[in-house]
Amino acid sequence: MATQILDAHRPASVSYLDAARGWKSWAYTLDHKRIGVMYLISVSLALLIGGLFAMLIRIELFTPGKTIMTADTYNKVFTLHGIIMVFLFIIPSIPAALGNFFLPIMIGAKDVAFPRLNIASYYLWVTGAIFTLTAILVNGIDTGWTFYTPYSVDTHTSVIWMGLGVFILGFSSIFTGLNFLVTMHKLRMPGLGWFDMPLFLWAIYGTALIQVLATPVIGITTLLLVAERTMHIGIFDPALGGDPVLFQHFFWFYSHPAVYIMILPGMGIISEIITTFARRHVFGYRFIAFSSIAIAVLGFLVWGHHMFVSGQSEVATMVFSFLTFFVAIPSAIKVFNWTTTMYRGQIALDTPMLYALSFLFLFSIGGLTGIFLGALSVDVHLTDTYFVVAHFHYVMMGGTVMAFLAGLHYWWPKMTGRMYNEKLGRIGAVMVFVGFNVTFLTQFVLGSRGMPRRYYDYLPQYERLHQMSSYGAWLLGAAFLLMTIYFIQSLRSGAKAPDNPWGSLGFEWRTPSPPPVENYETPPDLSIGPYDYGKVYGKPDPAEAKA
Amino acid sequence: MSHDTAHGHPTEGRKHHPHVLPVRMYLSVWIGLLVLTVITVKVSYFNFGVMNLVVAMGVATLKATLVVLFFMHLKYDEKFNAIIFAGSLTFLTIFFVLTLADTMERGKVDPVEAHELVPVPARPELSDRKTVHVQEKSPTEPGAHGLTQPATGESLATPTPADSAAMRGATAPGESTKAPGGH
Amino acid sequence: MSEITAEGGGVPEKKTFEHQVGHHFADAENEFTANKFGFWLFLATEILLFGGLFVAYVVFRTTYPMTFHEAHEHLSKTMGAINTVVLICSSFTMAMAVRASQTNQQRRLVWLLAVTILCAFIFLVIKFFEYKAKIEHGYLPGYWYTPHLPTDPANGNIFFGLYFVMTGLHGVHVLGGIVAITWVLVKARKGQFSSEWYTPVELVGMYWHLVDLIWIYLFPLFYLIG
Repeated sequence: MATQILDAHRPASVSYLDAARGWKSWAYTLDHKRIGVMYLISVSLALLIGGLFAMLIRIELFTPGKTIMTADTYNKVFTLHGIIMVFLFIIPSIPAALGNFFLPIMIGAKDVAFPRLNIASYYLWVTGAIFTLTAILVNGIDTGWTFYTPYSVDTHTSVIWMGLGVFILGFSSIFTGLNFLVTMHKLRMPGLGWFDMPLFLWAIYGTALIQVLATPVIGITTLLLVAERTMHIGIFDPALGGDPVLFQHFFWFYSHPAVYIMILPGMGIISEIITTFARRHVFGYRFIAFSSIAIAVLGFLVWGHHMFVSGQSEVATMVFSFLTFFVAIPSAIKVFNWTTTMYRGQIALDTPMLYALSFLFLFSIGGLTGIFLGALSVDVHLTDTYFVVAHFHYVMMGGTVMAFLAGLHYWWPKMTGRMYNEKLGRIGAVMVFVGFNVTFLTQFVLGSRGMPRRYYDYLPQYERLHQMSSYGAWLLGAAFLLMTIYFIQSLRSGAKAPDNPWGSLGFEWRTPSPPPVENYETPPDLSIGPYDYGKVYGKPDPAEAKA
Repeated sequence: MSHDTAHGHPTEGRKHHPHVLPVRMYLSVWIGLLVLTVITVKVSYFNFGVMNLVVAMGVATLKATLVVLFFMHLKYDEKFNAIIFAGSLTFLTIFFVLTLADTMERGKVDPVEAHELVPVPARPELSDRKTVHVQEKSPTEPGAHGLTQPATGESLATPTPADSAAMRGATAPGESTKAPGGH
Repeated sequence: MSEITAEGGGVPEKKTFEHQVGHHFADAENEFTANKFGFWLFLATEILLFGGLFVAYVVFRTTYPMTFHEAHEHLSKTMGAINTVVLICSSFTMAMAVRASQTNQQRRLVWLLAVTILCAFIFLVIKFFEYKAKIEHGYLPGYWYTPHLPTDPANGNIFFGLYFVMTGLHGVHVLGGIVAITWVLVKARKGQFSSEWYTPVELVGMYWHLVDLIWIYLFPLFYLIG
């Protein structure tokens, strides 16, 4: 039975890629796999464009004063880097691309609950991207991705276009989350209980909860901002009796939980990859599962930690700081559990595992530096410095992007039916790891020595560190270029992928690569769970007894 | 919920049987809603002080409960739908509570820290202002923008929006000195 | 086929439409519960959307209690109360319409939907006159707040800003409801609903009840500040 899963030679069936041809079969598709692929291409493009803006930032900051652009342009460049990365790439990336593709497969379903809502979500993303492009082309936008009032009300840049774009992208996200929640509740195959699901799906569940509950608030925030700019209602303008800090409450009520939308799916991927490449049952399945929900819930209680120096009341400041320390606990539980999962495992250092190991290291640093920032007395000095920039890049890039790349490399054979060049993959992973640390470790130092964020110019004492950071960024850029090259190469001439190149027990590996339109020819045998490596390989697995 | 999962052929399997409620129930809820509306309007002509809001919200919540439980069938639905509804209200409550923890507590300094404060001299622009200061609360009522006397005995005036308008030279709140911004 | 009940005067028409259960669902019951579940999630998002505005309302009401009290006197309690009654009645007719679709009373379904739409229109017309009165008196949001009377509150721009945004967004939802109910009405006239498939009527009904719910809170908060 186990060998059937591990080295299967299944009869050829029509894959979802070959089932229909022509652009219309993609544009009007209702197949979650095709929608996932379209999302994947779209968010990858967004990642590359956002990355281009990052390269421009690092070129500009190579020397103090003007290097290649004026200060006004610089404001627009870092704003757009943030907006594109946050709203067009990172929030949709793992759920809408990889989640869309694999959620139905992992529960033995034929599709998500609402396929038409799914394709609508995708076209909403495209519409939001068009609005963003329009904002860039009309007047640009220079408020920072956080759109703080009063500047965002007064500035003559395209805030309204961008605000509406964010509103539309918000609904794309909401509908994806809604779809996934209903799918997991209503379309699980018979016999698949909640605690039989792969942990990736628990992570997607937590993410979907946040998407549904938090995103409407950024919707109303952008509407109010547009109303302020057009009607001057005054609720954010002190001269008209309003409160600019209220905008920040509105903004961060969504945007803090949003960072958990960003990290949770990544954590789900790590659970899948570490178990596969260590050949071990996950340690503490229920702890990891519940911690995903805990992160989702606790994440709603801490938004004011972005506002410690904004002028909010002392009471609120202290409450938010206190609650912030709690939100670290479920993440820590996961890191401990993943580490323990690897203990006494047969570690295979394939490219996905290299990214997953990077995640463990980099996310831990990012998370711990978050604790620094949660402490009030420390935050007063570090807020709005490069320390914060480094912190969130460690969790968002060192965390989510590493996990995204891990998942991309892990599931690439399944989605495309092709292998990529493993040697180049590993080289790329090492380049990313080194480049990332050079770029952002220096930024912790820069920040703690006083370099403020979003500054175009700086004192000469910071020049060395900025240059080092820029070198790292260019190495990162080169790594992404390499990745783009070998992935395109894989699509054109990559080796045909077996059904299960990694020897994984996950359900998605029990169907051909690429999968047929109906996802399975025969539904997966549930007597072997996705993590039953001890059972299959015949070795006693202490972790299994705990699960 | 666990029985309600997907398997083979949707044309077989369970048909949907609607849960039909008696007309009597709909009529009673309708009348109830109208009666409660009359009550809430009548009550608004009396002044119960701070209880005004409590009574108004109480009646509104009763009406809302009738609509949600009966017109929207939540009483007869799967339990999880009620959890969704209650969940959204829970997170909304979090939004309310923590935001109000800020806006209603502004200007209050921690009394322990206040000992350490250097007295701030009164700002001349504020004491000389010619605008009509909209007195929002009588001095006996604590509350928003209230001033807690710090231990030093100095009055630390937190600028109210009217004050900031005054500082900008506007002569009345509502009139801004800046032109509407471009888009 | 459909169950025919002869309750109370509805003459069932021939069903011209056979609903196909989605291939990814287990059966019709699975599809129905999934649709309802999904729609409750959508309603949760609407609650959070409007909820944000209510948060802004509470923040400013606690900051400017006197302004809110004075400013609200310039709203017409009568018109607000009539609108509340209109919406409650429309909620009743909508709920009865859903029941009619559940019991295959096709003509009754169509009439009830039509009355619901009519009530929604009445609501909007009354709102139009209310807005007109506010605009004439200069009680406009923010920058354009130009009160004429010496008794007008100083920070009234905040009250009216919130009034227009909140009732305005609610009005947009009423309009959306009119569109949705009309769409259901057109399908109902074609006989597309029955006791086996009435989900669109049910879901649009739930949406309409939410619109009513929001008004149930807007009314006392703006019109009945004691």
